[in-house]
Amino acid sequence: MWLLLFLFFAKPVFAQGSPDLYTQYRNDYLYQRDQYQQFYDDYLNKKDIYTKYASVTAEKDKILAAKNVFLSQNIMLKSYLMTLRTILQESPDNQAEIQKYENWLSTQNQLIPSLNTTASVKVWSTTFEKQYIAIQTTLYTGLVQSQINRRLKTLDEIKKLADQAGVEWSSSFSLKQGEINKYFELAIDACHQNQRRDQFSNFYPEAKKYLDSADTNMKSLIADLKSIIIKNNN
Amino acid sequence: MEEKLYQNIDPPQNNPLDIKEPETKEVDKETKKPINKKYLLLIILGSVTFVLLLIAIIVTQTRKGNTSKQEIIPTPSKTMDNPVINDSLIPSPYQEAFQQLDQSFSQDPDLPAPQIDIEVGQ
Repeated sequence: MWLLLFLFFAKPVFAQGSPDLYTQYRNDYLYQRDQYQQFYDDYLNKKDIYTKYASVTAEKDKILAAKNVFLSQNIMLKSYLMTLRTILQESPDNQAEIQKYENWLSTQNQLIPSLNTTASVKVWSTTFEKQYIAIQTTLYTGLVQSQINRRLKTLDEIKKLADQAGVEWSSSFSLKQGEINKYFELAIDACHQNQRRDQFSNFYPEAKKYLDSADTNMKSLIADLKSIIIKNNN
Repeated sequence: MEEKLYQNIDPPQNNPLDIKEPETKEVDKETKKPINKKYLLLIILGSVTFVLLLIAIIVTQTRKGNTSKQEIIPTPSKTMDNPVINDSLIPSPYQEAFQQLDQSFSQDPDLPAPQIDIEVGQ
C-alpha cells in the first residue's frame, strides 16, 4: 500500500526524445489501468475468502485489499484526467474543472490509509460513488469538447484551403458550416443533461452521434471544395 | 248521496268555484329557483378541466410540430455517399492539404474511459 502511495505522488518520468505529452500520459494511464485490474482481482479473491471463513484475519485482508483498490483506482483516474487535460489546450474552463477532481483524488489518497474498519471502508466507498457521478460527467464532457475542438480546427483548415485556392466561401458552404456548428451545439447540450443523484446517465453515445453527423457534413463540404477546385483548374 | 269520484281529493283542488288564476308566463325572478351550489361548482370545474385539456392538446401538437422540424435537417445522411472524386484530378499544390483533411477524421483521441467497480468495499 505504501508503494501505491509513493507511485501516486511520484510523477511519471519519461525518456528524452519520447513522443508528445499526450502519448506519454496515455501510456501511463494504460499502465495504471492494468495495475488497477490486478488489485481488483486480488480484492475479489480476498472478499471470497472472507465470505467463506469470516475470520478476523480474512476481514483484515479484505480491508487491506479494498484500500489498495481505492488507491489504485484513484491513481488510474487521475492519470486519465491528466491525459485528457493535454488535449484540451483550447478549453481552459474544462481543464480547470478536470484539475479540481485531480486535486480531490489526491486528497482522498491521503485519507485512505487511515481506513481500518469495514464500516469506514464502506463509508468511503459510498462517498466515492456519489462523487464519481460528477467525475464521469466532467470526464465525458472533456472528451466531447476535445473532439469538437479538433473538428473546429479541421473546419478552419477547410476555409484556409478555399481561400488559398481562390474559392469564394459561398452561401452553400456557409449553410453547411451552420449545420456543422449546430451539431456541435447539440453535442454540448447532450453533456449538460441533468444527472440522477444515485446513477450516472452516460450521454457520450448521444453526443458521439451528433459529432458523426457533423463529420458527414464536413466530408460533404470537402467534396464540394474538391469539385470546385478541379473545375476551376480545367 | 251519490259518491263523488273525487271525494278524497283535497278540496282546494276540487273546488268548482275556485277560479284558477292564469299562469303568468313571465317568470318572477324572485321566485326563480337558485342553482344548487354543488352543481354550480361542478359546472365551473368541468369548464376549467375542458379548457385545460384543450390547451394541453394544442401545446402537444405544437411541440410535436417543433420536434419534427428539429429532426428534419437538410443534411446528407450517412448512407448517402458523397460523389466519388478522383483525387489525382486535384491540382498538385492542394493534394497534400486534402489528404491531411481526409486523415483528420480518424484522429479522434483513442482514450477509452476507465471502468471502475463502485461496489468495492460496500
